[in-house]
Amino acid sequence: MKRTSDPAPAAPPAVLRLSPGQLARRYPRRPARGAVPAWLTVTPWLDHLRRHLLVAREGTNPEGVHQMRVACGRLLVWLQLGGRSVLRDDLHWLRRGAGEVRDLDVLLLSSPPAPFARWLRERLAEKREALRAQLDDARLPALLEALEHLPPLRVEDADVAARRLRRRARARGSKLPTVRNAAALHALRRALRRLRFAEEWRGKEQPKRLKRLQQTLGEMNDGAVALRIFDAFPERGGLRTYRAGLVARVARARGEALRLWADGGAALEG
Amino acid sequence: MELLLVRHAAAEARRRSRADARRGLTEEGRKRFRRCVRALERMGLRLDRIYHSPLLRAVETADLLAPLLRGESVVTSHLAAPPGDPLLRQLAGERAALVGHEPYVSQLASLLLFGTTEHAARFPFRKGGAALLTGPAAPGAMRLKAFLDPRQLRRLG
Repeated sequence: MKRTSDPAPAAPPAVLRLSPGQLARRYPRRPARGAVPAWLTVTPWLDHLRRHLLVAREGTNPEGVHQMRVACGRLLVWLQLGGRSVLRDDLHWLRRGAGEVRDLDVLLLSSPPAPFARWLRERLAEKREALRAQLDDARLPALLEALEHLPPLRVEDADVAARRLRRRARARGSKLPTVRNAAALHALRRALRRLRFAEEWRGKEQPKRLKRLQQTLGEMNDGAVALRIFDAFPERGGLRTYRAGLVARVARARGEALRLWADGGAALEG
Repeated sequence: MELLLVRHAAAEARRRSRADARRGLTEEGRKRFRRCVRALERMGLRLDRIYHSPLLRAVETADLLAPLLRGESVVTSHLAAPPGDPLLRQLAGERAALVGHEPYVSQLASLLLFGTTEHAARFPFRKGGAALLTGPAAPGAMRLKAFLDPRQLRRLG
């Protein structure tokens, strides 16, 4: 991806002022999969978040922002599994800023037409600057500190909350045969994502059919986001074919998602 | 603007083996504060913001206040430090709760009511206690509407 003309970054705040080597030594573990402990500690994904905040702040590697969002999603579900209400808004705040950058990164990686790509790069530079300011905000170290102090969850409590998430996903899916609009599919996508993260925390694998469905719902969402951004592009008039391609991509993914739900939705039973 | 200043509910005792910031609420503290929240709910109090310190006992107290929230919760280190402009500048909304610690909550009440923290001793917040202030959130610009002892609140809850 072409580098943009961002101004030189200011010194990071103390919470982020660790070299990559120091970070790796301090937070050496990656989130484990497959193991089922008696208690679920926030540490693995909190470490993952910390590791990628610095990369996200530098703004040179899109993976930093992506992984930051990934960690926020897992932490949000962890809070939900523990029945906690506060700190979720703070994580949403952090994820929102990263999401705006990520959407543009993803769109640029898809090699859009040159005039649109130029406009996207300008917007990306603005959004990166806004994200950098957000990462320097005093709310971030307070959030990290608060998360660090939280005691682990009991697996039994997490199981109860996960069953609730499963019921919710099933309810969202059950509306699909009658309500086939984009909002219903997005609601299902979010419900399935939360359920997948909950299963990950509990060391469980999701059925393959559901994974495929989520992937398709993700593609549908990427297309819808691309379309929304493109519709804000002032010179979109000359790129009607490109727009038609985006519309077709969303429609294709939507049809496929509905088919996959009809085939694989039953995997949510039990 | 209306501000509900809250001192965190009763927390576990200090222990050498555990950092002070990791002290959570006791079961009894939780139970008692739930009754305080019920009383506030009966009084018709609704919040559009909850600000709380990152220390566990304040996080858990803010969590118990969440049924009154119709907006956003915000974690801020300014509530775990002497009160001042950085905290006041951060405040938004029409009706917010601020969950913090002593002596800072008393100092904050004094600052908002008298423009100085010198009168903090006049506002001895018990654990789970609250004060309701109204007016612009600036030093010396607010009026005290109610000083709510947790025992009185529990009777109403």
